[in-house]
Amino acid sequence: MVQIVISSAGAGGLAEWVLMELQGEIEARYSTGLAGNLLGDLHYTTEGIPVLIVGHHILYGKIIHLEKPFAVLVKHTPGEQDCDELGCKTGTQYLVTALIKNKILFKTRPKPIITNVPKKV
Amino acid sequence: MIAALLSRQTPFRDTWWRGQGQLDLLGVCFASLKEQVDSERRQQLLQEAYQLSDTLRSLRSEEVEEEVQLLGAPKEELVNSPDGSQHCLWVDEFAPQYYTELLSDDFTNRCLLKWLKLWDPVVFGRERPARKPRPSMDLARGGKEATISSKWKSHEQVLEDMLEADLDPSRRPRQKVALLCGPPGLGKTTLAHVIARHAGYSVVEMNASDDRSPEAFRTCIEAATQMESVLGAGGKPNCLVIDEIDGAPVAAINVLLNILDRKGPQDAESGGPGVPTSGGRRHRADGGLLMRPIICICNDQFMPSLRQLRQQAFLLHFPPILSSRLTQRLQEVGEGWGWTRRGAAWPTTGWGDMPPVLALASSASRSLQPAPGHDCTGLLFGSRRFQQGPRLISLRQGMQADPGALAALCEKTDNDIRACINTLQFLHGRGRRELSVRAVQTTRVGLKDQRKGLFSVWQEIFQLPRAQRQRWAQDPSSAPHVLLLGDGHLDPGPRAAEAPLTTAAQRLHRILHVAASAGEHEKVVQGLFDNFLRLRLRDSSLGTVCTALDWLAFDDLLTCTAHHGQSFQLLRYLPFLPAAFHLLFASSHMPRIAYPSSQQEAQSRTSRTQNLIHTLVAGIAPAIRSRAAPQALVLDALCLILDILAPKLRPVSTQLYSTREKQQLASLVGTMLAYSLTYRQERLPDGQYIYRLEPNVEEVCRFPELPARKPLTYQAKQLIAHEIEMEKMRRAEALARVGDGPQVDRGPPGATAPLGGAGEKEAQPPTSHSQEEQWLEQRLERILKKAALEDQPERDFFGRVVTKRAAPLSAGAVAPETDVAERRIGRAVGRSDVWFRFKEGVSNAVRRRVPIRDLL
Repeated sequence: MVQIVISSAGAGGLAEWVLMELQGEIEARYSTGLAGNLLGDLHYTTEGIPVLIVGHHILYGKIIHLEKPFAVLVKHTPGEQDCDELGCKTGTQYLVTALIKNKILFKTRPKPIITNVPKKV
Repeated sequence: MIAALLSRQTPFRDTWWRGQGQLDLLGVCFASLKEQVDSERRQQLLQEAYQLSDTLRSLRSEEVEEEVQLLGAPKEELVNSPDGSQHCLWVDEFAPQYYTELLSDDFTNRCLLKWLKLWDPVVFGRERPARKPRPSMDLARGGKEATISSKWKSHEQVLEDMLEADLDPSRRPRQKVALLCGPPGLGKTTLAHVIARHAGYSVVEMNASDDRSPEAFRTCIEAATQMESVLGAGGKPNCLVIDEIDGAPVAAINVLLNILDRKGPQDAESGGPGVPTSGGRRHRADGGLLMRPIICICNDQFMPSLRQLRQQAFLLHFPPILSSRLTQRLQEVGEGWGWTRRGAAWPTTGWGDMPPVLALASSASRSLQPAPGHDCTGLLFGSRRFQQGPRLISLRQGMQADPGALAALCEKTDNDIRACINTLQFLHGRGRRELSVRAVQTTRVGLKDQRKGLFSVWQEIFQLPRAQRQRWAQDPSSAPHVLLLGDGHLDPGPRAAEAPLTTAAQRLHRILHVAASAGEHEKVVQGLFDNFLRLRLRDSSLGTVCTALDWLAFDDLLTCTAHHGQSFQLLRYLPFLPAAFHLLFASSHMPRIAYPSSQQEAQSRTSRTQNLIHTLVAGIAPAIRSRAAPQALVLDALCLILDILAPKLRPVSTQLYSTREKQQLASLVGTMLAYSLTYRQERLPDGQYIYRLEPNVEEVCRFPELPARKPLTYQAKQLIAHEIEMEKMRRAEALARVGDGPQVDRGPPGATAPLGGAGEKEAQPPTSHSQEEQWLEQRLERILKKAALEDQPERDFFGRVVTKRAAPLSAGAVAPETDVAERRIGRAVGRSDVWFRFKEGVSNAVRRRVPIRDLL
C-alpha cells in the first residue's frame, strides 16, 4: 500500500501565496536563464485590478478566488541523519509550506510601453 | 419620183468626201452640216417611200432591179470612201437596248428583273400580284427533292426563295440593293441599264470615274433616290446603278450601308434591334428611307470592303456567256444587220430587200412597244435599231467573218463581249474586211484587268492541266522563244497562258508567265513550301523533294543577294522556282491547299524564345554571367540546370525536414536565385492554378512533343517559391544593412557577452552594449535625425520670438530627479532581462503523465 504522508510545517500559520497565471511564455534575454532575474512589477489600480509590467509589456488581469485552494508541498526525502531513534519509517514526506487561495489571471493581450517618444518626428 | 430621190443623193456624197471623215465641226463648214441634216430627213422620207414601193414591187419588178443596180453603185462608192461615222465604238452602238437583246444568262436576267419588280409597290404604287399556288411545280419538285438532300439549297433555289419572300413592313424588298458580280466584259452594266429601263426607271449611273469620297457618295445617292432630274426623265423614277463598287473606298460603302439600314417607323414598331424609339414616337432617320432601288456592280465579290454589303444584298453571279450565242452576236455585229437570231435570215445585198423588212419591223414595233412596268414577253425586234439608218448603211458591209473565226475570237478572249467587239472594230478600222482564223490567232486582244488570287496560282502550279481539245485560238506555230519573252512586249497577248498544253516546254512557259505576273512572289513560294508535301509524290526515293528543297534554298539565296547588294536583276530568275515545282510535282489530283502560316509561326516562336533567353541572361548574377554566354547557356547548360532544379522534395512542411534536406533546399534556392528563376502562380483559362517557371525557359530547351521529365508537384513549387521569396528578402536586408552601418556581421543575440545586472536601475550608462542594441539605438537615432527638423524657436502671434524664462531652481532640482527616475524606468523597461511572449488560445487540456514513483 502506497502511503504518502503530508504534514503541516508547524503550528504557525501557513504562508499565503498567490498564484499568477500568464498566458504565454517567459523567456530570458540572456542565456543565463530565468533564475534570480527580475520578472517585472505588479501594481494594483485603485479599482483593484492588478497590473503587471514585464519588459516593455503591460498586462491587465483580475483576481480570481479559487474554489479549490492549492497547497504548496515540499518533498522531504529523509537522509540517514534524519532518521528518528524510534526508527521512523524511511519514507518520503511532503511538507505543506503554503496555501494558495487566490490567483491572478492575465489573459488579455499585453500592451506595449513606449518610453522614448521624441518631441518632434 | 425615184429619179428625183436619186439625184438628191449626190450632194450627200459630196459632203462626205469633203469632210474626209472628220467629225470635227470646225473642219466641216456650216453649209455641209445643213446638208447632212437635210439628208437625214430625206432618209426618213425614203423609208416611207419604200413602204409604198413595197406594194408596187410586185407590179414593177423590173424597176426594182434598176434600183438595185443604181443603188449598188453608191454602195460600192460608200465602201471605198473612208467611213465618216467611225467616231463611235461598236460596243456602244450594238449595245443591247432591250431585254431580249441581252446576251447574258436568262436566269440571271429574269432574277434581276424580278427583284426590280419587288420595288413596284413602293415606287409605282402598284400592288404585287398574289402568288399563284403552283401544285404542278411542287409535284415536279417532289421527285427531285427525293434525290437532292433538302439541306443544301442550290443557288437558284436560294435566289428564288429570296424573291418570293415577304416585303418589309415599309413595303420594300428585304434586300434593298442588288449586287451583280462577275468577270469583266460579260455585260453586267448593260444588263443593269437595260433592265432598269425596261422596268420603267430612268437610270442614274455612278462610275469609277466619279468622285467617290464618302460625302460625294452620299450626295449622289441622296440626289438619285430622292430627287428627279429636271430634263429628259419624262416622269420616270430614278434607279441608281453604282458601277465598279469594288474599287470604292470603304468609307463610301459604309455610307451606302448606313442608308440601307435606315429604318422607318413601321420597322421600329416591328422590333428592329437597336432602334432607339420609345413607343409611339416617330423616329425619322435623317435623310429619310431609301425609296428607290440601287444596283451595284463589281468584278471581285470577295473584296474585303464588300463583305458587309454582300450580306445585305441580293447577290447575282454572272455565269460566262455561251460561246455559241456570242458567236452569233458577233456575226450580226460584223454584218451590221439586226438580230438574225429570231427573224428570217436577210441577205446582205442592196437596198431592195430593206423595204419589206422595214415594214414588218415598224408594224411589229408599234404593236409591241414595251409599256413601263409590264413584263416583256417576246419582242421580236428592236424598232429603234432601224432608225439609225445612216450608220447601218455604212457598216452594212462591215466584216465578212466565218463562224469559225468568230468562235476562235470568242475563245481567245474567254467570252468577253467587249473585248471581242473591240477587236472586230479594231481590225475593221485597220482596213481588214475579212476575218480569218489566222488573223484572230495573231492579233493581240486587250482585256480588262482582272485579279486572280493566290489560290488560283497555286492550283495552276500543282495541277496538271487537263488535256483539252486543241485550242485553236492560239497560234500553234508560234515558237517557244516567242513565248519566252513574256514581258508583254512580244507575247501574243495575256492569253499566252493557254498555249497548247501538250509539251512540257509550253507548260513551263505558261507557269513562268503565271508566276511572273503573280505579284507576291514571297507568298507564292511560302504557299508552295507549305503544301508541296501534301501532294502525291511519284518518286519513291524522295529525290524530287530534295530537288525542291534545293530550289527553295536557291530562291532564298537569290532574294538575299538581290536585296543585300541591290542587284535586282537577279529577281528575273525567281519565277523559275514555281516552274520547277510544277514540273516536279504537278499531278492531276488536286490536293487541298492551305494558306501558308508556317513561316509566321516559326518566326513568332523564334522571337519568343530569344526574348526568354535574353530575360534570363539579363537576370543572372554577375559571377555566373561571366561564365555563361547565351549560346553556351542554351546549348549546354540550360537543359541540365532544369534537371538540377527539380530534386525530390518531400511534400511536408519545411520545419520537418532533416538537415540534409534543408541543405538541399537551401542549395536549390541559392541556385535559382543565382539564375534569377522563380515560380510564379498563374491561372489557366479553365480556372486551374499552376506554378510556372519564370522566365519560362522550359520552352527553350524542352521539345513540346517529347514527354517531359517528372515535373515537380504544385505544392513543391509553391514551397520553393515561398523559400525563394524569403531568401530574397533576407539577402536584400543584409545588403541594406551593410549599406547603412559600418558593422559587418550581425551575430545572433545570445552569442555575445551578456550584460551583468541589467535589472539594476542605475544611472550609469552600460559600458559595453551588445552589438544589436547598439545597432538598434544608432538606427533609431539616425531615423530621428533624419526626421527631426530644426528646432524653431517659439513665436507668438506677431512673429516675435518668445524666450522662455529659466525655470525656478527648486523645480529644476526636482525635475531632474523625476527625469532621472523616468529615464531609469525607461531603461529598465527597455533593458529588462525577461521577455514575455503572449500566446493566443487556451491551454486547458494539457495532460501529463505522472507516475507514482516520481512522487515517492
